[in-house]
This record gives sequence, structure tokens and C-alpha cells, in this order.
Amino acid sequence: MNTTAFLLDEILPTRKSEDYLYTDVAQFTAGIETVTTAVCADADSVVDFALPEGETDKPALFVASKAKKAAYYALEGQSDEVKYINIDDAADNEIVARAIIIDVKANAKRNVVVNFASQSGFSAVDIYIKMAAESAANVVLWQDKPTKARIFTHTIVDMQKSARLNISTINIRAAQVRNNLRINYLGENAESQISGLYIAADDNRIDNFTIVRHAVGHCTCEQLYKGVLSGKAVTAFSGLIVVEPDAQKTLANQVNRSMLLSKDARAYAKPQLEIYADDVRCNHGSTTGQIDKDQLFYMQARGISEEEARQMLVAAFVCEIAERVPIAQMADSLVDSIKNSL
Amino acid sequence: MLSIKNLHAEIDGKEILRGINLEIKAGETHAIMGPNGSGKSTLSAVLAGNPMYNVTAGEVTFNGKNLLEMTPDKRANEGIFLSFQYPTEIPGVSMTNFMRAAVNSKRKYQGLEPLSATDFLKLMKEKRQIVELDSKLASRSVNAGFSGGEKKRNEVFQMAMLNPSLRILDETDSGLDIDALRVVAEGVTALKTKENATVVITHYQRLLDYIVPDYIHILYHGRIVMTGGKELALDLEKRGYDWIKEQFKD
Repeated sequence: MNTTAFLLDEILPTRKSEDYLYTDVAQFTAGIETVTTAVCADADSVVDFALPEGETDKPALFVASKAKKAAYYALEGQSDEVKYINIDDAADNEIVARAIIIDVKANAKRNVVVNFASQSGFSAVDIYIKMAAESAANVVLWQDKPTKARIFTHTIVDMQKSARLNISTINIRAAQVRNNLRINYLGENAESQISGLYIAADDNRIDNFTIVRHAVGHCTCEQLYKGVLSGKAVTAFSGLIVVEPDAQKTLANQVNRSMLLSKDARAYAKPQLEIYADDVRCNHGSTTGQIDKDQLFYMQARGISEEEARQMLVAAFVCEIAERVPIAQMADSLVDSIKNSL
Repeated sequence: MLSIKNLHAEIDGKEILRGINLEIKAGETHAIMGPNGSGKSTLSAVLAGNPMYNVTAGEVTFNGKNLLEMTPDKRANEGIFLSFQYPTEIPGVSMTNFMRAAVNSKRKYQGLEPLSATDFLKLMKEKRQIVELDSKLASRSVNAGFSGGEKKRNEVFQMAMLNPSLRILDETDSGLDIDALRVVAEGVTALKTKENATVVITHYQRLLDYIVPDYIHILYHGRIVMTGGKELALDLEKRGYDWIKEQFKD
């Protein structure tokens, strides 16, 4: 027992907290002895950081209280180039806490990739994305190679008037992952497309929690999370859509689909709607299934072996997410990573 | 080519085929007709190796080999092709990737190198024309969002690509308007050779105006109860199936 472990016990939620019912935080932080902070090396500047008032997510508060300083990126103008923000390695027994502010200025149109390439340790990152009026951004949280690393992300997005966001969260065979994503609609006519991919094998744990809050009307949000589980992998998806009384004409759609390739894999899904406005269109759907037997037979009936047909069907299932990533080189790279991971 | 002896098969414990006997030689066209529920589609599914069906008795040999112990993909690579009554939609798998995998599986089975990309695309283009399949369909996902007619034309296109020796057409006429029916049937006829054989499963006579059979078999309650020439279809068209049901009721 040391002070760090004590600190973790105090600050982190337990399974009694409903939002952390599925993510076993004790296991998540097992073996952690130190907490350090880091600031991404290539930031435009370093600024003080605190999560927005009213934020209650304990791990996020923990990261913010530790990190204090944030790497600040101002994105202006229009460009097809990709801004990479690299999350470097952490040692096996440490949590490295980071905070990142991505400030997408009015009328900007930019691409950002937050790249989790660490092979070890625990990377905890708070990301605050400010989408100014009339701004557009394509953002990818990217982790595409098998890794022993643990990843915690807490992303908050504020959407001002007519902002357009495409955000994807990619996790391929990471040991333990918890992604929280909150989108706050603060100005009318804003649009977002949210995608998530989780490929979990062996005893991987990959959890995605999203909260989309519509405070104003005439905004759209379309979410699709898909995953493939094998071995004893466990995943959770929890998606909450909140439509406040003034948010008339909201269009919100949320879909989560998991494919199980083994008997021991488990995919939890918890879609939730809280709607307080009457003139809105909101849907959610969730499926957990296996490879479609009719599709498998049809492919075999054309001479394709069962093994090859299975691979093609699984890749087809998750490649839908790659098609939703608008940054061409990332989409291509994702297709390759998916095929290599199966 | 194909020899079926005393074939019995069931699904979910319910016996559908109750002793089928049928001999098919190269160059022949056989029609299998019968009322709904008589076992026509089951017969085609069993021949293609659909694992939903359980063969309980009998034997089937294809070019002298025991068909029933082969996996569905092996049967296909040996030369059996089933044109599905309801072709399966496979979102996310493009027709091109699907066909490339199918064609190269067969080539591998035959000990041949995979086709080069250029040769493959040339083959696609050539065979597509047989059934007037739009080039756009080839770049889309397998059967996904295809109309009923497009799906059936796509089946015949795949048949052209794979050049099977035994072609089984399961209710290929269902859901087709007369123009689509003509295109599909002409495609099947154009691909007919002395070396291949055709089994046409149909409820109605109209397809047999285009694909003229040498033999017509009437399937009822899981057995072939009558075999005749092509004039039998006209008889059925006039008289319906009631007299068969009456004559062969259990």
C-alpha cells in the first residue's frame, strides 16, 4: 500500500457507481504505483487546464487535477492535412495524465488524429474540443495495433452554431480501454457524426460511454459503434441522448452493433434516451449477434472456404466504420489494420 | 454426372425428402415441378450442402464422388452451382471482392494460380454482358439493395463467372417480370453446353418456354411421383396440381 494506491481508491469510482458498473476500475488500475503528468511535446502552447464546471466524472477530474496544464492546439483555416497529436509511452506501473485542448476556430475546416501508440502503462487523457460557430473538424482517436497499454479518455466537445464534427474512436486489441465522449450542442444547426470501432480479443476490455446533450434545437447527431469480440473479451457500450425542453427539431440517432465470435465473449449495451422536447426525431438500436449463417452458406456455395468467408464477413461488418472516417489515409490505414487484426 | 438414390432429408426433425431417385447426365436439362411445400427447394439446398438440412438416408454421387460428405465450398469447386431463390444480401462485401474470392477459390482447387487483376476485370466485364448486368452493380455490395430482377441476373452472372458443370436453378422465375425473365433465361441458355447439365426448379410452366427441358419430374410430398417430357408442363398449366394431389395423396 502506498499513497498513490490510496489516492486512486479515493478518487476513482467503484462498481457501485452506475456509470462504472461495467468498467472494473480496480482491475483497470491494478499494479499502478505512480502517477505522472505530461504535456504533448508538439503543442502550440501550454495553458492552465480545468474541466468545465459541473463535470462529475471522477477519473476525468482526477486527470484534470493531476495534469493542470494542457497542450493547446489552435486550428484555423482550411486544410486537408492531418494534425497528429501523439500520446507517448508510459511505464508499466504508471499512469501518465495529459490534458489536450483542441480549439477549432470559426470557419476552420481541419483534420486531427490523436494517436495512442503506447505499448505499455496507462495513458489517461482529458480532451476538450471547442467547435466554434461555422467550424468543421474530422477527429480520430486512434489506437490500431494490439497493445498491453491501458487507455482512459474523457472527451468533451462543445458545439457552437452550425459547427460540423465527424469524430471516430478506434480501438483495436488494446488491453483495457475506457472512452467517455460527451457532445454538448450549444448553438443551433450543428451536426455531428460519431463513430466507434472496437475489436477486442483474448481478455481485452474496451468500453465506450457517450453522452450527447442537446440544449438547443435544430441539431443532428448520428452515432454508430461497431465491434467484434473474440476469446474472453468484454466490451460495454452505453449511449445516452438527452434532449432538453428547448431543443426542438433535434434529430438524433444511435446504433450499436456487436458481433461475437466466441462463446466466452460478452458485449454489454445500454442505449438510453431522455427526451424533454416534443418535436424531435430520436432513435436508438442495439444488436449483438454472430456471423450470419445464410451469408456464410451463400459464400461457401460459391466455392469460398468457410474460414475465408468468415474473415470476409467480419471485415465487412467492421469496415463500415472505416467508410465513415472522412480522412482518406486514415480510412485506408484502418481497413488494413482491421484485416491484420482478424 | 449426378446420381441420387433414395435420398431422405429433414429440417428441424421434419422429414421433407422421402426417397428421391434421379439420374442426370451431361447435356441434359431436367425440370422439377410441384406444388408449394413438395420439397423442391429442399432438394436444391441439400445438393448444395446447406447445413440447415440433415440427410437421414440415401446417397448422392457427383462425377462418381460422394457428394454428401463434401463441404458446400468443395461441392461448388467440384462444379455444382445453386442459383438461389432468395439470393442473400451481404452488405460490406463488394461484388468484385466476392467474385474474385470465388473465382480464385475454384482456381486454387484446380491447382491454378489466381487470376491477375487485369484478367479478372476483363472476365467480369465479359460475363456481365451475358445478363446485361449494370457495371455499377458490380461495384456494390453483394445483392444489397438489388431489385428482385437484379438479384436473379446477378445469380446467372455468377454462374457465368464460375462455369459450373451442374447448374441448379431454384425458382429463378419467382419475382421476375417478363423482360427480366427473358434476360435471365437467355443467359442460362447461352451458357448451356454438351458438358454441363441443368436442373430447373419451378412452380410455373412459363420459365420452361425459355429453358426447354428434356425431362420434367413432378415432386410431391418429398418423392418424384411422375416423370415425363416437356409436354407434361403444359398439362400442369392447364390442369393445375390438384389431380396430382388427389392421385398421390397419402
